[in-house]
Amino acid sequence: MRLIACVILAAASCAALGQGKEVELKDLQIPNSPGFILLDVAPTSIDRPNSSKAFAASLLNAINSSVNSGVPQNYAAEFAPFWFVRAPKMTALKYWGINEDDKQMPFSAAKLGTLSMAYVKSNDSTTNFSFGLRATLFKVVSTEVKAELKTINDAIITKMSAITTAAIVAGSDPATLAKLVSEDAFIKDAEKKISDLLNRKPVFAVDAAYATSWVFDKNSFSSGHLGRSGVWVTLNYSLNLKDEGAVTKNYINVYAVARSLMDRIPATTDTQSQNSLDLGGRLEFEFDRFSLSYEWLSRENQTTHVSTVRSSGLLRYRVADGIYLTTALGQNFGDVNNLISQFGISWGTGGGLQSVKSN
Amino acid sequence: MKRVYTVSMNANDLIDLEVIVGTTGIAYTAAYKNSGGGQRVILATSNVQSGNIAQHPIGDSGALAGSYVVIQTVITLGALPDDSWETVTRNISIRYKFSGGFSGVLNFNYDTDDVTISPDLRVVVITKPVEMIKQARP
Repeated sequence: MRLIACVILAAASCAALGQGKEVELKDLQIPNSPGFILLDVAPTSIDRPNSSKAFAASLLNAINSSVNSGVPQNYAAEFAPFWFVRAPKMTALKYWGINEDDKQMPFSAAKLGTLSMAYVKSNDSTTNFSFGLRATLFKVVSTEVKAELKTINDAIITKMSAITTAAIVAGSDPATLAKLVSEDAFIKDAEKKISDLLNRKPVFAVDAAYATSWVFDKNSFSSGHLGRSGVWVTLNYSLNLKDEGAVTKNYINVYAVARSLMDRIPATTDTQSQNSLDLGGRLEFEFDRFSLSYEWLSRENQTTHVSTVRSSGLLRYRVADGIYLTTALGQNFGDVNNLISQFGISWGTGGGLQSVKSN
Repeated sequence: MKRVYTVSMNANDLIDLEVIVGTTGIAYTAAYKNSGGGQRVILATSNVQSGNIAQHPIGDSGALAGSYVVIQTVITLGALPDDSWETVTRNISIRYKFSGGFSGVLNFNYDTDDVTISPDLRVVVITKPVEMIKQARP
């Protein structure tokens, strides 16, 4: 099946090959790590520490591996502050967005927001530093998902209660209790069901991201100026295409997108600052591993007040978790050299889509 | 690490226990009395909402004196991505609060040696023994 999908996508990409303007595949989605997107030079590796200790270790490693100054030439990190601190009143249900009254907490996903930052020093003595934020500000899951999460949570705790009570009465030590719980097939199966439920798309969600960068020329601090800044907001609505009432992995997704990009260029140069505002949306049909979507975006250059439109189709196949084959065809912004024809593969969790063949 | 709580000189004074567990894992807590003979009696348990035990009388001073109150919290992390288990384990927060005895209100946390982790790293058991002692007569 996967082989057939690869062949179809390869054939589609061959048909799409042609003269076209450079369009990166990442332009088609909200960036997972907005701090990296603003830099033209991609960092060679991205650290994703999940504790202050790991963060310090990764930074130390970067400093030690730098050749001359002890300052890393190229460093990027992304992390969620939530995992760096203890949350004394956190519970599993709250983490999933359900409060003590079994009501959804639509803003609770914001706590898992990530920070990303990158530092890239290029050969022409230009140093770029960027910083980004990303979070799901609002999320609502279906009432069925919420009810199932609660039911399974209660069943797991009831089972843990029975095992713990029996172990206490029998005089078992903590290691035996831990082993008994970890080997319980019912609990394992129930946890798998929870993972599956949490991986389902929310009915409605609002994602937002912001990033800004500073540029320093010729190793001079005084030359520092704001580079690019960007704000992304995406509204997602997902309708599960149930089969006789049973939940499937097939969805119709509707996205509304607003994106503002600002290029700050110092007044000492001849080039004019360029600001743009993108507004549009995407309709996507998702059938397990395949997805077919159409995107329409209007871009207004807020300096020249000229508007152009991008209209493109996208076919994507999930080869494995986090690895996608993607092909796109359509019209890009602008009036000339505006053909989108792309075939690529993406991988990783950072949202950086790596094009293997384009134009 | 064992902790100590001094009960009231008045044998009828009730000792209260409150446990607040903070974790993204699924938690269950039981507190039991361990007397000298090895017999274990469950005093309080958490409910299906969380691993917390709301402030709750666990017995009078006379009955608890000379015994251990052991609070055992079981946390399973299998619903979370397995690459987060280490971080989640490190960030577990538990506050134990005893009150009603000569020691008054006493709060403490768990210690490193209270933590037991299953071989597959998926289940964490935190066991806090508290010795309930009588107040020495002047």
